[in-house]
Amino acid sequence: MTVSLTATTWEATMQTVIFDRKSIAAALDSSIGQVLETMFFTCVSSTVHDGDNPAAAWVTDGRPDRQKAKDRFGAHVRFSGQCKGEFAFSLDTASLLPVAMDFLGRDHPPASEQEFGSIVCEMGNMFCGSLLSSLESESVFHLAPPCLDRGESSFAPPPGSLGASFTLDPGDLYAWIHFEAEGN
Amino acid sequence: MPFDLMLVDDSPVMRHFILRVLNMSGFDLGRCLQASDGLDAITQLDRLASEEHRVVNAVLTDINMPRMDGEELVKHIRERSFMEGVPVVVISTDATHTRINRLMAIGAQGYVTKPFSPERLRQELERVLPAAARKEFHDGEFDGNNMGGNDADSDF
Repeated sequence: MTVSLTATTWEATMQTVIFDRKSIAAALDSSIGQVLETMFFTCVSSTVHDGDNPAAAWVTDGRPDRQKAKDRFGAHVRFSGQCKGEFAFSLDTASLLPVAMDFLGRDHPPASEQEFGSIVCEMGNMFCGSLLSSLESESVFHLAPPCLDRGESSFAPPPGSLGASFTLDPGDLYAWIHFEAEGN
Repeated sequence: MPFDLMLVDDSPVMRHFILRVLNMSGFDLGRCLQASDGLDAITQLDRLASEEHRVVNAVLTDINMPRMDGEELVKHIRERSFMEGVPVVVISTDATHTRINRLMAIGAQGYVTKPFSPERLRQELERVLPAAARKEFHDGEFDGNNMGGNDADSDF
């Protein structure tokens, strides 16, 4: 599948950007892996791509599984520029705690849920920015401030999204990206 | 000689992280002023110059911030004669050539893309800092030294 997108009025020049799913998947893998390893001192041990059924592991009877979602933190980031769309990710609380402590360089958990939230939003910003930059290095993207998710919204990617699950030690991270078609 | 920095980012946890990796990298950090956006940074830099007759050795800034973003901050810094020769290093997730070229064209000297290693940040600062370290103000009032201790953890 090829995602073909045309620039919005944000950039003066009209230019078509074409990403194929293989490129997006490779960029998703490398961006998530690099950000986790370099900024959060955490390694990804394996990756499973969603294929044609995004977030299948999180969906029961066609709806996001609330039970699976309830102990997860996540964030979504809207982006615009040469193309526009949305990126989202979530990770379970068991993964978040050591990741947050490593990021802050502390041997105790973040002092508040707000501090957890800030770290999750920073992760979202870095994942999304790194992913878009690796896909299209000649454009400028605008990233909206990340919005914190608690619950199921991170597991409900729109049709046509590309998602992947990343195994961490401990726990897991799930991420997806969706590009909007021209005119949306 | 320890270097004094102005660190500009709207995220307190990101400022904390940057200071942590600077210390991890072995960078000789003196005092570090912190600002939550470009406007806050300019206000503090102006006050430092007018009230204490001092200037930082370099500015590290994010791009996307409320009130005044990183691009506007670079322009404001380059308009101030007392900041002449003080390098600005942009830290951002945006690694696109267009963005980097645009910031360099308006007066940034360095660019570090997230994710970055402690070594990468230190190397970029060391690359741009010699010019700042040699800087001497015309009347000798500004020496950039002895601005106080490193308040890296002040937000926490």
